[in-house]
Amino acid sequence: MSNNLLEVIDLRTSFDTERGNVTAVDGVSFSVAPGEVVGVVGESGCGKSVTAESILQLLDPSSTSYSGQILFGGDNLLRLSEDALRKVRGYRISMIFQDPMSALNPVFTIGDQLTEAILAHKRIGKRRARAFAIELLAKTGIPEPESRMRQYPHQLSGGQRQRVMIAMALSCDPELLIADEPTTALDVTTQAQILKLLIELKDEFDAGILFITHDLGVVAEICDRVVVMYLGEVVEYTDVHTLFDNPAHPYTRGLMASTPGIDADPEDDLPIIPGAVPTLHHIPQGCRFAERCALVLPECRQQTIELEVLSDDHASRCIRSAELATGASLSNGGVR
Amino acid sequence: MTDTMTIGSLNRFNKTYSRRSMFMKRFGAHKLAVTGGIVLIAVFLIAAIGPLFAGDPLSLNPSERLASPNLQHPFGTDNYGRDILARAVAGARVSLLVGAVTAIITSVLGAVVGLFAAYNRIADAILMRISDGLMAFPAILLAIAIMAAMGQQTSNVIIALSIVFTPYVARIVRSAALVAKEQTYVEALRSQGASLFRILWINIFPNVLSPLIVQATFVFADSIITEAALSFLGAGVPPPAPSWGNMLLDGKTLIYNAWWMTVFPGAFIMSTILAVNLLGDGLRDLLDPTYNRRK
Amino acid sequence: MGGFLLRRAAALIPVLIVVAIVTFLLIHIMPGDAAAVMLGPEATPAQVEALRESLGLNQPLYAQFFTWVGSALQGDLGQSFFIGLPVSTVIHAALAPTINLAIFAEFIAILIGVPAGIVAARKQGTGTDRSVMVGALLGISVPSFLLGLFLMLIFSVLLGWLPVAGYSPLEDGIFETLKYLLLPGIALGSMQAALIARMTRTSMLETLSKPYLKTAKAKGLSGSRIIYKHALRNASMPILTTIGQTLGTLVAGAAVVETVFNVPGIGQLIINSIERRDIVVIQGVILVIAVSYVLINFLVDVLYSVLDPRVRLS
Repeated sequence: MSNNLLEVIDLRTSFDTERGNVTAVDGVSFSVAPGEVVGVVGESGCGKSVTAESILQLLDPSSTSYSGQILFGGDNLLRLSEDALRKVRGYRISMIFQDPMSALNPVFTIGDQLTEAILAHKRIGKRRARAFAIELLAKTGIPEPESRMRQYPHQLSGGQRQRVMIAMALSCDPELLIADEPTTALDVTTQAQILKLLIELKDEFDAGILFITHDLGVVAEICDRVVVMYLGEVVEYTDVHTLFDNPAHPYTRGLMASTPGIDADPEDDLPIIPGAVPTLHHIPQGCRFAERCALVLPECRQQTIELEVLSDDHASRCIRSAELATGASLSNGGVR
Repeated sequence: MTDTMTIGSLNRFNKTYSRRSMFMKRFGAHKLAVTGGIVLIAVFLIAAIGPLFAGDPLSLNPSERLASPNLQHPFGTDNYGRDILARAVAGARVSLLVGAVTAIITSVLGAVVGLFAAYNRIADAILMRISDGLMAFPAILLAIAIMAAMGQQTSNVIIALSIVFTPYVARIVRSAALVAKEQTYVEALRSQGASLFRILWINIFPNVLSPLIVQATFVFADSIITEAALSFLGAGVPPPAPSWGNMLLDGKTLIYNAWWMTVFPGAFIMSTILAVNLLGDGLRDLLDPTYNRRK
Repeated sequence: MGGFLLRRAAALIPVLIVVAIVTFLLIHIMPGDAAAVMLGPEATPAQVEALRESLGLNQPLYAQFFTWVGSALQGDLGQSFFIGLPVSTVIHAALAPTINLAIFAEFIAILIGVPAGIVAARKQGTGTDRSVMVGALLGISVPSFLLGLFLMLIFSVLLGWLPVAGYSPLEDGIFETLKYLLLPGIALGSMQAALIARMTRTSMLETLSKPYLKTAKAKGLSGSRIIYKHALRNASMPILTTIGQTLGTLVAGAAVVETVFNVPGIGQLIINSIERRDIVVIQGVILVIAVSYVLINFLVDVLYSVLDPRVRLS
């Protein structure tokens, strides 16, 4: 239908829990064009990881149900059989996870896990797969890739483990790479290195990237377009420049205000968004963000708020988004 | 007027006992555990008052040897014409007595040894090596060996089982106590000069109570099984006094002629152990979710 | 790796010392004079004195202990007063059926327990899971000798499919042996299967939620490869521990089940020795079984380090 690589339309992912059914992702739509990096941003619990894992349907099948469409290469991934889906996973769409320590199997060697990923999709011999794995490791900048092949995950540093994960994800030259907070579990210098590596490899492999993060600093560095999520819904999407210049949702503004700039005075208190993300069991009526919003109006709690399209590639789920997009400084006149 | 009073006092009651009523509520939700508890109470009742009705387990009646179940003898009779029902009921008394007394003795000994080990490093090293050594013997085998040495007597069965099972209880208590000992409030009490011994009993003991109770239920079950096995091997409760184990031994030799001599005492053992295990599993889920059953 | 093995081996020494002391003390917890008890009331004082002498009971306790340990280390477990043969010979003769039964039962238990536990974990909360758990609870609640009696009643007495009792040595053909071992094997293996199924389920459940399985799925691996390669390997350690820990119990259990089916093994030997109060034989039996139990657990430890690189390299 379009030249998009991935098109998620009205995705709904819900879980059966002991306390009833909860919808973790509620009507999310976005798209990723080939070679494009799309960021999905939000606090923990906003549904961004669930969105990512829904694409490959990695969640526990016995308690998860999906609806909507995930269009990829002409197929709706949600309609594919398990077998067909397996041929997409790791081959056409691959994934990098947050904590490389727990994402690698502790009892198998790096080499074992890497070649396994290659052999799962390519009809080549073990020896060639191994040589290819070493080549991939070298590409990710791991020193002495050959001896790393014989090591176990716990013998590597955090940064090296994430490089292994990246090598594994790129092993079949995927069209789309989903990176779920790939730098969160790493220390700051390693974070920068991994990010740099991803940017380099992105150009070499020419893959689209869906980048899940809570860190707007990372978004500014790597993403072309951004989807902001709150409590299972998309609250704003736009290109990265518009997002930073004219954020049109109070939540986006809050996220930005609570991200320290490089020139910030450490003595200053960072503004924070008051309160915490409500649980999925208690989704508020009306605007889901109203409880924590500095600009809340009485109407916010009375109606379901729809995404309001502001321009070609900019929409916000706020009744005051038009005012906000102008960049004006607003208040709610003391209403709370 | 009275109604509001009642509601008011009920509310207060609920508040005071909220922890306990929560426990009862969750326990109630655990249908299997409740079933186990009820069956166990029934077996205890049978053991307590059953012998008053079931007749004499020792009275011989040569004219009614090996009678299959009938109105007069619902479970049949054995090769001496003794009533199987009367013997099974009397056997319940022996089995439950052995199980309960062993569970109590091992709990007390295990708590003392376990707490003492958690309290003193040198004692810990010695006591835990001893318990490692004792646990290296399969339970039933050590019990057999002790019985073979000390001689067949019901009291010796209890002694043997207590020696066998105390190390398991002591281990559980010790590890729970070590965890509790590391908590900050214990440090705080120590820095205030409270004696460690006092802290152990007043502050740490309550923390080990839950795993101790759970373990005691399992010791109870294992003791009943082991006593039955010992008696079945002819190393437990000495005949002619009935126990489920020695009834099965009698039944085995006549398995071709009198199935009832095997089936009824067997059913008693099975349902009792099943009930205790159901209760124990429920208690464990309730009191001590992190603990894995030893075996 | 060498250091790891050495440390583990060193830890065995205190355990073995306690095992030796407990075994040694058995003869001293006999009420009254051990020799007199063993010989019974009809024995003459001269006979009692002779037995005391041959058992070394006239020496001081510590000297008795060291003599006893010294000979035990050389494989001499004493002389059975009643049979008139060395205890080691007697045990050796009775060992084969018991070991065969124990191994066969363990085999049955693993064959049933591991797959049942895996299925229960994969279908957690469903009817399948509940049936497995109820089955496991039943398995744990029926003592093996009782299950043996029930099985014998049904399959041998009622249906007449299998021999009631007895044993056929391996030399006469494995099928004949298996025919005799089938019922005792099931009786003995069922509790073991139940324990293994429970542990497999718990361990698999814990492993199934691990992120690296998500990675394996994201790689495009098949469901069975994820379960049997990635999950089972990680879940195998607690399962192995259970198997190792219960193997000793299984040998002891075999001795009990044997007596149900009249298999001429260690169990029969124990029963006969109890009747004769031949405590020297009993000492020998429990020493052999306890020491093998300790060694089996040592082997399980070693196996751990092979299966989990973290243990080996830490």
